[in-house]
Amino acid sequence: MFEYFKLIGSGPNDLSAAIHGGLGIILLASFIWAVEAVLNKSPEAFKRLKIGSIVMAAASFLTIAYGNIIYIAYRAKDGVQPWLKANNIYWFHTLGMEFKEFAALFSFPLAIAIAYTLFTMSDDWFKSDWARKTVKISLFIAIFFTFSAFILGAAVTKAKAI
Amino acid sequence: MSNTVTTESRTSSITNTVTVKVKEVKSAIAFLAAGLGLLTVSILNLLQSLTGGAKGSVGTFLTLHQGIGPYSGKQVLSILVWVIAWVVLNKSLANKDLEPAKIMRWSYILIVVAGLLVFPPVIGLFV
Repeated sequence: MFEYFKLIGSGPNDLSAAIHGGLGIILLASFIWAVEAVLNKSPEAFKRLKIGSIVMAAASFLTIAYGNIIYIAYRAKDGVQPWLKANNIYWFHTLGMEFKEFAALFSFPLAIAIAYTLFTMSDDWFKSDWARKTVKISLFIAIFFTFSAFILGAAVTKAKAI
Repeated sequence: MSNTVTTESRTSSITNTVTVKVKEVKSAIAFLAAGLGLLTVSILNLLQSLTGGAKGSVGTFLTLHQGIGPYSGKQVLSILVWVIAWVVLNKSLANKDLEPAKIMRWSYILIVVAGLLVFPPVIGLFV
């Protein structure tokens, strides 16, 4: 069974990096799932939205946590950051990583605020146009930052994998 | 008899509207606190850039974990600001007669400004 992990790579950080990327995909998917549920105004969709918000918050937290773990390897003396600087593609670090590491942080407080709104509004969700509009807009803002972080992470990995 | 029923249902309707408004204000406060936390990250990052980067005074202060560097302190401080702001704002504003839309407008402004301040070309305008 553990033989299959070799497909991820044999380096010491490959598994953490793969988990980080995988959690990022789950996070993006949960945001998109929530968008569908918020646009669909049925009670069943509201239940899906609440479940989606919990997945969003958990996935965001775990993605950031694993991101911190592999960030240590990224910044190490023999890591990706010194390599990017040495190979004259420093913009990959400044625009790519420097924006990515902060954009990724935006998902967590937004996910928590969205989940809080859903559970606070509860039965009054359908009485509040404000709540539905706010959650919709906030989801799109969160998707923008999360998608940016995901794409930039993929780009940096393509330049040099951790 | 029918007047009593009408008055009761009107009172119940008003109470319900007030309850929904209170919930909306509490929800808006959650977003406002999130915006304050995110703005904290951005400001700390800008301050670090203005004071010599990761090895400068602010960068050194923010380095809570050597491996993660100043990014560790930025995250911890922004979470602290976020949580404290949420508690304080909730205690002081939750039951006031406020417009949730106005609170959200400020939340969006904070989030957009925070997003701009972590965008390297914008940071480059200050550094």
